[in-house]
Amino acid sequence: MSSQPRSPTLATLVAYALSEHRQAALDEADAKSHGSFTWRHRKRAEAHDLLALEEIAGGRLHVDHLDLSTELHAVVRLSVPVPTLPGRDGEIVVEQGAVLGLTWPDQVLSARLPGTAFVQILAPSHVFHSNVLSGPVQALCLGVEMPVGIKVTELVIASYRAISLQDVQADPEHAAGVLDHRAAEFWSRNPSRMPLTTDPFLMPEATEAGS
Amino acid sequence: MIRFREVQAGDPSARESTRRRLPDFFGAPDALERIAALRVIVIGCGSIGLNLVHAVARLGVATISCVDRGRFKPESVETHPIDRGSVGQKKAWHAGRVAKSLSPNTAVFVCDGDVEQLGLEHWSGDLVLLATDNLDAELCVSRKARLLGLPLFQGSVHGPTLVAEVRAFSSSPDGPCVACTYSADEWKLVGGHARFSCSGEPLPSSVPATMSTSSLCALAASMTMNRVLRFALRAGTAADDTSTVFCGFNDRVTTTRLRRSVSCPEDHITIERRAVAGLSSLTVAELLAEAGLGDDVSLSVQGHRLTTLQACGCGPVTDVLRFFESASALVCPACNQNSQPHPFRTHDRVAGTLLAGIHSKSLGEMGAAKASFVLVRNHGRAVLLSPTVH
Repeated sequence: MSSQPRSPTLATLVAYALSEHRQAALDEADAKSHGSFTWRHRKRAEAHDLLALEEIAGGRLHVDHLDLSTELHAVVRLSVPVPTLPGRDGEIVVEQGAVLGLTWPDQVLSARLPGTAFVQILAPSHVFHSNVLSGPVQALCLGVEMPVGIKVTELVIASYRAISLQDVQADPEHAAGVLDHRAAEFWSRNPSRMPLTTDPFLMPEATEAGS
Repeated sequence: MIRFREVQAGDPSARESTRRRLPDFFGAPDALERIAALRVIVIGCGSIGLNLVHAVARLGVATISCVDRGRFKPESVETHPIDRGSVGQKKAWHAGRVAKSLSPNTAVFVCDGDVEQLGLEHWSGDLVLLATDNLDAELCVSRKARLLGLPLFQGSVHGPTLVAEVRAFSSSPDGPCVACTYSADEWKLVGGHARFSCSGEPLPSSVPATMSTSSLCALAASMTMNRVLRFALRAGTAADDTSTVFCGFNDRVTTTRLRRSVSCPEDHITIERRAVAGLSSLTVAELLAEAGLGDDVSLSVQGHRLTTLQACGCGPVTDVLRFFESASALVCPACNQNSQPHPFRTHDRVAGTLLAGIHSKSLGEMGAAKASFVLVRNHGRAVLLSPTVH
């Protein structure tokens, strides 16, 4: 543990020594990992960083499920304000957390993938967001295309920024990234209600606590 | 669904034999039979690939499968062996019709869709000829050729330096693949031409045109065809994991060995094929036992995906555990309307606890009665189980 960074940051995640139970979770998932040597190695590294991010995020992120058997699959809970439209009265209800299904497929190592390829919002339902597909499958669009090899932790942070409307494409005329035109029109008419929080993903005190 | 379609002969009575001008190849008394039995897949029917199709057809091989999603542009006449009347035509269909005309006895198949979408079951051939500028297509073709153990010959040019090249990949388990040869700059270009719609569907990409001369493209095709001949005649090792480069500025030919890269992200597995009867009636446990790769495996079913959640607009998401045909819609058991598999709970490859959950079920029971093969993999091996072994 002597090499543990005093104030862990995103840049030092790779060197972060996981707590015992997270290391055990990583080892268990890694034992069932399939694919080429490179793919298995990379999945393990990404899973390590995800668990390290959970550890330093001060409660912002919880990794509920991790599966490396084929693709990297994770179910994570994010503490983030989520705009929803549950009723017919048109009243926006802001929920305080989201459950995300993350998929990191092996194509990511050799291809740029669409921004909808990685994150599904599993809960809450009725998310009212210009970059989230409305309906029973709530895909979150993180951009027109994502770079080759984009990291899982970057996807998590991009999801936080997108869901909290810190980083959002709400122009209904701008086809790229807009999956719900009704929501896009609403949010473009109500810019003063965005973002839902100005808090960064990693609060300074959180990283101090994580050290 | 992306698949091959057969080109019919314009004149069914035109069945005259080709191969009347082929020489008695030295050391290959059965050369004509070998060539006549050859099944060739040509990926890319452009300035190099169309020359390849012409040459392969003139050999009178058994089958030619042409793949290209593009159409000829007005400027194509400068590098392709076509005339102006062909502008606007689909490249794959033009190539197929020319091949059928040149060799009526050859079975000619055409696919004018994305090679990336062409399922493994359609890759029926003895060798693959690759002539595309699209790095994403290159990677996909290399991946499938390697998985199936098909030798891959790639013809290419670099116009500004008058270079024509043929690369011969053996697809042997320890050999290199196309991705092994990529430089960091090439990796940056991978996916560079990909475009997506808002729903994530890939849109037609805009791959830059080949900047070269027709003669250089024809030379690259001829160098590639020489490898094809050597392969058919079994003259030495034609697919020997080498690159042969001709430089037009100094008439020099250089052959270098291609090496496997330790950092290659591609899966370097070659499948073993086994015949099994009654595929759809076998349980998953029986299929895994047939594959003989142990319990720590993953399983893929041709043309199908496994889903555990069915999402419908009528209400809550329905729990399921079944295969469904990739191209078909699911029906919601509650409202009988079309529903969709939840992307997060839908898998091309099944492993771990999911696999354990379906051990005792047959493919037919699980919704995959129409599957033509099953692929079982572990870390180092892959076994393809199908009713017939090609």
